[in-house]
Amino acid sequence: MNQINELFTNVQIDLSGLPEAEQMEMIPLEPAYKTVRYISAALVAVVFLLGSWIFALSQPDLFPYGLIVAGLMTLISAWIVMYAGIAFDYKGYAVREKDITYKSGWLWKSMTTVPFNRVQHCDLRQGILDRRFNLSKLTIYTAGGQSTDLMIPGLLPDTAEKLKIFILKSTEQSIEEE
Amino acid sequence: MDSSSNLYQPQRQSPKAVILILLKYIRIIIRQMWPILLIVLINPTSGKGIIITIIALGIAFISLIYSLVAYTRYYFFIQDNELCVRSGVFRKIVLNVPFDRIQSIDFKRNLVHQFLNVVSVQVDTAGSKGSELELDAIELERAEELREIVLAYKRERKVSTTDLADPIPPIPVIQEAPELILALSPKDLIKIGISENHLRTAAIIFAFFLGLADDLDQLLGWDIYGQLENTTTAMSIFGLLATLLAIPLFIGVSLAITLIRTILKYYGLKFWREGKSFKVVSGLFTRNEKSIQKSKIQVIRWVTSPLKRIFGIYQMNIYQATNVDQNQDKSLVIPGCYQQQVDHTLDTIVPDFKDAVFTAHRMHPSIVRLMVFVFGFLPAVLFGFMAWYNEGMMQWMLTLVFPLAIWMGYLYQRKRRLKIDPDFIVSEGGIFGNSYKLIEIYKVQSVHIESSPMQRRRGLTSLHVFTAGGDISFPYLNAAVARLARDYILYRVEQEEKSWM
Repeated sequence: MNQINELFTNVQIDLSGLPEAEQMEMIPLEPAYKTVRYISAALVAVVFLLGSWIFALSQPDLFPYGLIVAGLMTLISAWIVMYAGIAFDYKGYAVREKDITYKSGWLWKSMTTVPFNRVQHCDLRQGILDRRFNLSKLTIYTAGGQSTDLMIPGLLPDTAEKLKIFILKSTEQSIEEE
Repeated sequence: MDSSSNLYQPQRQSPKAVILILLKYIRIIIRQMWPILLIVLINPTSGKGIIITIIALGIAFISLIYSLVAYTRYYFFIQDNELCVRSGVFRKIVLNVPFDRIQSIDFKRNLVHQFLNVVSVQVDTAGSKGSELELDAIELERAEELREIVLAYKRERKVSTTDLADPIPPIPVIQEAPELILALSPKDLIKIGISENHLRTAAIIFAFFLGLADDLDQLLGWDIYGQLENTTTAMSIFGLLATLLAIPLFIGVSLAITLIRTILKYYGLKFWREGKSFKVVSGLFTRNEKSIQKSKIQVIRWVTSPLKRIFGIYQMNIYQATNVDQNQDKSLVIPGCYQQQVDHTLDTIVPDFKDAVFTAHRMHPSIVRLMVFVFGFLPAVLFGFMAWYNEGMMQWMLTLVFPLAIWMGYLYQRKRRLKIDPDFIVSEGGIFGNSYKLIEIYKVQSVHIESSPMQRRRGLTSLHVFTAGGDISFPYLNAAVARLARDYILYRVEQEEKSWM
């Protein structure tokens, strides 16, 4: 167990000198995105609430159980809306010279990094709510498939455009170097 | 180029294609309508039966005409380094596939193809869904000619692009003689067939009969479930005996079916290396030919099960960069090979692998607790509740899933290893068998780490490494190791000058 912090034994490079992704300064998303998250969570919550309460009240023969389920659904709905706000504070991205990272998650934390020389293409998208709040969503595609695509929501359209141009330029450069 | 130049002229497929196109339509129709056809066969003189027969004959006649027209209106040719197809009975469809976008050209021959001495050509492209192209039947020589033109174009392109980047003239591509890496003998096939996963076959048979029973019930009103229930509830000695006999019979049938399936699918399998690509040819009736360019290989996996270990064989899968949207299995499968053949294949694809010095990282034992909870405790509680509710003595047996999960979880944790070398990552695992998954670090596309509150309390993290042909996921890894691995992989990928494909 003494080598637990060593990645491999025949080191060719100084592992401690590697750029550490953990020490990056994360850029938070636009505050307006928090409102967008609240609204979309509220929409889901309303559907849940309406569905469960209509079900509970229209099936009186299920008497205590229907209400229990509806009560649970109410709690879950409240949690969904609250969580949208909490989760926002944990979302962020960071751009380094050669890669881009997005992290998210309050309890289940996750962090994805895509090197620029693996980017296939990127696109900018705006949903209905995004347009209303003047936000953009940047998606970065790699050849690794859907699960590896990096999606950064809640960017100002201007920032998103700049980021996209920067990424595509870096990608081109790295390919030319190859 | 005298004889080959005609590929540049719009031309029809081989006239034999009419037969194949017709067969294709008939197959589609039968697959869609077999329950109706069954009614006709069972009860041909009923009023319904006659009408259906007339309709069926009508459809058959129309499809014959349709296939003839479809054939005469289908042209393919090469133009400006593009493979072009003009087709369409009612609408005119023009499809141009640039050679650059062609990923692979595979040949397929089923029994009819073999009999008619033609091949079906499948052109796989890098485009989105539905853009792949299939020529139903063209003569083998013509198909080979077509493939050669595309491959020659690709070779030239490769040479000219490297030329730009590299002042040293590249070594001219020498047409290497194909090297046979391995061939399966009938004896090998029997070993493979016996050691396949019979539980899977049993499940397929079971699902098939369930589906059949459903169809028959709906169409003819044969209540198979009800009859079965009657037989099983009458727990006479006869019933018990029948059950006891049925189990070995079921296993026997499963075994026979897997064996036949294996032989049909992998008969005469040959694994070749042709210059820069690998090729697997196999099949008794349907001769399948699949090839992968060496540079496209992303993941190599080899597994063995307890049964396979008795024979000392491994199954190997070679995964290439794919269009994930298509979600097709484009891997090369070698259903059985011996240790030295695995080594030889690895040596051919990744020559540095044999010199790799790996450091192994284990999975934290607390994974066992999680697995037992999810796969053992929760199901056991559910089954227990069901058994108590139904007062079913037999259902209590299902709660045995709990000790089973403890045992399997323990085996899983004991075998899981993440092995890292400066150039390679190998993920080892297997509960009863062994599995190994190898990726070259410079081919990684992105790295993802995540952790749950429970993992963080123990200083653990899950590491996911993605390539264009598959990924390695390793949960419950020491957080410091995971982070260092992530930083190192990113560093390697970002420094790498070799193209990942």
